[in-house]
Amino acid sequence: MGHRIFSVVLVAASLIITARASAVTFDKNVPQATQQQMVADLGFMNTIQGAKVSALHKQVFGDMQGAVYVNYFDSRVKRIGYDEGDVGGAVAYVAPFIDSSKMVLTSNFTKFSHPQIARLMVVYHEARHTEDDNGNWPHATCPTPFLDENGQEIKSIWTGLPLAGQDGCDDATIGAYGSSLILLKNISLTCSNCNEKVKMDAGIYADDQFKRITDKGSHETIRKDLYVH
Amino acid sequence: MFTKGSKRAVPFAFAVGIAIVVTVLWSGHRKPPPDDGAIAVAEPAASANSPPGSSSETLSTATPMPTLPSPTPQSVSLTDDDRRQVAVLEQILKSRDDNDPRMDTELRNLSPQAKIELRNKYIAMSAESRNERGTIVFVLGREMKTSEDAAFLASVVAEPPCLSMQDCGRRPDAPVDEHAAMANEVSLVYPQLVAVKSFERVLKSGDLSTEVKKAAIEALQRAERSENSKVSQSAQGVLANVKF
Repeated sequence: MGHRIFSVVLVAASLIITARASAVTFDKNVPQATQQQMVADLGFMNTIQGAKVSALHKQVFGDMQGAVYVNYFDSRVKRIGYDEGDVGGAVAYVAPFIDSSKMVLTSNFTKFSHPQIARLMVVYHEARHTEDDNGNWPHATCPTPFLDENGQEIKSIWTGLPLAGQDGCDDATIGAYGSSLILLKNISLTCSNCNEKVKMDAGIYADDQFKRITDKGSHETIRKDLYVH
Repeated sequence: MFTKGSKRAVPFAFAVGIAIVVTVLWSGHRKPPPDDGAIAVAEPAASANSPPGSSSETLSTATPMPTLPSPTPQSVSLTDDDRRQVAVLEQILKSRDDNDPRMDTELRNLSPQAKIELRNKYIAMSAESRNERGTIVFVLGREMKTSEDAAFLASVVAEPPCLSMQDCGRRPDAPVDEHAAMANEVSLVYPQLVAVKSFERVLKSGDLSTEVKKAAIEALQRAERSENSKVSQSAQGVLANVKF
């Protein structure tokens, strides 16, 4: 009888969480197309399923379930605003010193032709910056020198200048870059209802983010969690 | 498709829930214990983007990647099946729902004519349509069987770089925030990276002709000299990790 009650409670809780997934609050100035895109993207997240996750995914998110992902987002982002500017090429940002529970989408969110999972990577990365209790997971200065696996200096593709000394890396294992990399890499490896393109995309963007984890300990922790047999 | 604030979703969800609850209680179904053990996930074999520490050699990139002639549209006569598949792809691209299951169930076993039509679609698209172009490359790459198929993907890899998400022909007007534009670096070369992945799949496949594999290797060797480090490193990773 105990497991039956547990089953009932579990199903009821799942439904409540699922029903909550439709609650996204937009500022009045957010264009309809932007709202629709965001709702559609989160709607996709709400469908994701997978039987296995890595230890770091379990730590940051829990199981690979859509409701878990949407709850993660909803518990951090209370409002979504809009910035019609380019904002340095961003599709979304959080300004913790202004309102740490508000995510701002830019005009690029709909203008730029990113794969869907790439947009979600950015959105979940930014959601991490809402966490006041964790100091909003600030980024680290990229090391000097900042080298790739071939020992070549990593440079900005925009300016050609070295990225060493720039604010675009992470020391933490599960900071903004780390958490979104963990999310996407797990999706690429074990999502059971993602198509081949989505899984490929998740892997491509996750692997690129991995290069920004520059603390050796954090890098090794993630490598063991996601990149070893 | 997810609907914002659907007022019918909540009561419908509870109705479904009641039905499930009744079924659980009536059938005496025993739910398996939740799996709370974290599991180390296996590394995918020979990824084109291998993590740091992999054994790819450092190759000289002094000689730039040679250019290839851009493909031109070809006239083609389509069957009803071809038209249906092309229409499915167009619907998926228009919906921006990358996870449409028809990507895997419908967009397979393309005829040579359907492939030509998809190449025509690719050529007609704006260069800034990075995801749309990359999606076509993905579909065609999965169907790579002939040297003609390989030649098209090689031409994708050899395209001039897209300089900004707003306009491939020029660099951004305003300074770029390296952190804020985190996805842009990859998206700018997304079709190229997908092509490299496609070549990797071909080289791992045991049932393709030597001619196609040779074309794949040549395309990757060309990509190693790409001026974009993400493309060159991706190609290097494949050539270092796949035996041929």
